[in-house]
Amino acid sequence: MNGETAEALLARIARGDRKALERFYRDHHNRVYAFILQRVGEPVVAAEVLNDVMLAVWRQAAQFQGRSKALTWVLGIAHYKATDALRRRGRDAVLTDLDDVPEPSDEADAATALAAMDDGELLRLCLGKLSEAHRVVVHLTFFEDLAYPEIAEILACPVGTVKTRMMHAKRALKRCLERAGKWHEPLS
Amino acid sequence: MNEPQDHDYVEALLSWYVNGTLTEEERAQVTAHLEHCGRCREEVRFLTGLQQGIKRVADTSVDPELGLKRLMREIDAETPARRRTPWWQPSLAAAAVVILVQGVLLFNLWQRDDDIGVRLAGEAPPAEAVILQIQFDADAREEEIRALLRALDARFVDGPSAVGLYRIELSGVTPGDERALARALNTLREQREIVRHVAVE
Repeated sequence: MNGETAEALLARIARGDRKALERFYRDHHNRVYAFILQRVGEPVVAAEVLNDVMLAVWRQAAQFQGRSKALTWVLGIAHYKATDALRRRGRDAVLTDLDDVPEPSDEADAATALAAMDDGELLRLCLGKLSEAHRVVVHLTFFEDLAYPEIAEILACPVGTVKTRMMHAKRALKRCLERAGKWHEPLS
Repeated sequence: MNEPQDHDYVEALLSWYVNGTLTEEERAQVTAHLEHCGRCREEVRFLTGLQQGIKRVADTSVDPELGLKRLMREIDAETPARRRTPWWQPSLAAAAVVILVQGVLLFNLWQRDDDIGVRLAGEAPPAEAVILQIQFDADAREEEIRALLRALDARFVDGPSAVGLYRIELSGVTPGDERALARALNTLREQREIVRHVAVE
């Protein structure tokens, strides 16, 4: 990065500055792509959606009012575009809200789960088993390091929903990692 | 903060305690609770490991140059006047021009098919279906075409014709829904690497 903030770049993009868009793309495409990919699941589709998002940034930068961080605003666009892409593909996962599904009461062994996490494949496997609504909250929290009010803004839902989804996601991940860890035999 | 409800309140905040985004007040509450709650300390340890693991396994590998080139090409194709009007208005106008110009062009191409006695095989699509005629670039790969059809919620109903035209049905677009049709055409228009011509029947 060249030190210019995303907010400053958006202001220049709003004035039609292509160089600013290029800078913005180079600085932020990885994070936006990672967010989209964990939502849509397929690299080809994720690249399509990333292009749509950056086009929207170019076209709508003037609408950015600075009430939130620039990246929060862009991820909000990405959330909308990814949801749209999923709907067009006919996946109903996006509409599935598992917050009301009761969790089994057994507590997972956090230490075993923690040890299993060292294996990237196991962690990927368990993240993939989360519902889409839960996985997106985990990603925005632990990959993007966003605050829960920012996540609520991106997903257009109450902060309480974000916390509830995280609670369910943590339990499901712990259980999955614990089981996977117990099954996992070291190769050496 | 020793009550069970306080424990639940703090436990719900721990993920954001770990990612460092709590307010000062919330952070102080969590820190105070952690001093006497072993379960929450263990949870923090788990969440810290989870954060490190997720950052390690997240896939961010995408070639910026390729995507940037495509983005700039699409922006180049837009008129300067566009930026003074709402973004969707020129898109609709552009889609209308695509329909008009390429519709005429492809209508002629289709007629030439008739002239040389070659017709597309297959069953006629339902009368109420939205059908597009489309010509792919010779270098378009099968996986790109598949992704495009999936993005459009479309399926092949006919083709190729003698001049390489296919007919696709937009399953997700209801006849008369001009906005949905314009969106689909816009998507196609953005795929210049793989789509050479498109027209609405």
